[in-house]
Amino acid sequence: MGMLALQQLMSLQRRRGSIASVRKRKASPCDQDGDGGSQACKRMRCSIPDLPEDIWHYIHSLMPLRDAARVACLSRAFLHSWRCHPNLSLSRDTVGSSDKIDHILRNHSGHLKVLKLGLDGISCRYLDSWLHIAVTAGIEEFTLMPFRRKYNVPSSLFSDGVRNSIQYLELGFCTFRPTAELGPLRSLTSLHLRTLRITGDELECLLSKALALEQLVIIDCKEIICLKLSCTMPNLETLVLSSDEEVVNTPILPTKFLYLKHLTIDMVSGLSFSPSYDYFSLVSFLLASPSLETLILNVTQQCMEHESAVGGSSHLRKMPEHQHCCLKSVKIIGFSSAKGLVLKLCGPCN
Amino acid sequence: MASAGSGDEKAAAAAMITLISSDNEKFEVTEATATLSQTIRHMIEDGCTDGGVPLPNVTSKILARVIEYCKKHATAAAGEEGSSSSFSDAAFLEVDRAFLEELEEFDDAFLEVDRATLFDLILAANYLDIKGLLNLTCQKVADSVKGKTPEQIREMYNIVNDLTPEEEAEIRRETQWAFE
Repeated sequence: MGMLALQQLMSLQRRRGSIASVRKRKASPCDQDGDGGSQACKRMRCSIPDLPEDIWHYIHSLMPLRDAARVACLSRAFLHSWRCHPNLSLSRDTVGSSDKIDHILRNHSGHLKVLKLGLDGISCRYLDSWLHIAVTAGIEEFTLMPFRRKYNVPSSLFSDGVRNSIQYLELGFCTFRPTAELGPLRSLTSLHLRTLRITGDELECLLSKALALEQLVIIDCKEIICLKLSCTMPNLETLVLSSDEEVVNTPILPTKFLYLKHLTIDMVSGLSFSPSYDYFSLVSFLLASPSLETLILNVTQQCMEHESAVGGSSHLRKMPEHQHCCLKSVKIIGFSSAKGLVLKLCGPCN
Repeated sequence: MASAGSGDEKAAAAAMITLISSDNEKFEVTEATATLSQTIRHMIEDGCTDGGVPLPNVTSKILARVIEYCKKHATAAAGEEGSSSSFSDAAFLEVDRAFLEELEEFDDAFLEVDRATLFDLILAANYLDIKGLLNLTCQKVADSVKGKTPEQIREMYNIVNDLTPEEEAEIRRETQWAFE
């Protein structure tokens, strides 16, 4: 072999970053199996090529939960692969009962990347121990919906390792009381809070630990009386706020969301908002977001008790001239009185 | 790197790489196509692609298919770069969507192969470190077990059962919920 060819091969081997190296291919089960096994191997070779165990493991990880569980009984290698399946989505629909979830998690090797626990109609008796087993360093996505208002998500869950790896956190239908002791969530880019008992101060505390946040979704968190987003969120690109009752005006924000591109504010209510709520206060969001590209405002209510700006007694309030040059898409639903104001604000761009 | 535009085509044409299959067949590809493989990208960075890149683990039949995939997806990547730098108005989005649909159709048609070829493609994608192709082909295998019994899956992929009957029964009990 010429020097050049040798160099090429060495480069190939040195730099390879793929899943399995053909050279370190693990012995297939039939190699240790005696004669019957090697006959099976011969049969295998003449039909389809053998895949290394790591590639099978990768293929297994791509299967949805039920398929992944069904192939566990194929062979020892598949059983092992099931025990460390990196992606578990456990709910009444996927698994069934509390006992079954308990069994899966107790036999799991840990090292999960994605865990979704949707416990509607499922006993939460073992929940603390499940979290202890499954939420460990290396986890990237964690969704917890206990459907127990009073279940308090333990802050101790967020150990050093978890805080370093977690990128997506979704908490809903329970209680979360983060305190100043919570360490920084360095990798967290997406945070979803849905029907969660958390106060404005606690939220502020949580956000101050998550400076890498790009996406923040807050839906129906009634304990947040005043949304204080005073801490800097330099990377925030998407903000979704949804509420079905607002009495206190949205405050003028002290900070700017320099990179915020997508803003959705959803205030749909079967009833009507208190007439004291001033929609104009929402404008502070627009002023704080110079890079906004998409804006969706939905304020549909069954009966609007606010006075109409058109022909009503209230005066049209004027904003200082403000350009939103990046704004490409605006959707406004349900506004009657404040509509004119918002359109005027966006007018110069398009 | 080649991006959309006639001036760049000349530059891309200048940077051609020769890939040599295990049965000694030579394939000339542009650098943009070849560098979808991380393995080859690193070799180019190391400056050892003169005289061709020998790929002793890949036959000409499989290499031809792999190159077909890389050509299509390299064009897609170049198109994406082009559109993101320009103003993406509605017309552009329309073009993007049509292109993505075409790419999806290409991928679906590309996967219409027998199991032996599919496995050879997986091994080649792994060896050459082409993430998109590895993902596509592995997902096809992952999807193929849907609705099949364990016996059928063993038969399909020649998987040897090395569990004792007792062990297998135990696992079947444990994962019964997945069979219901």
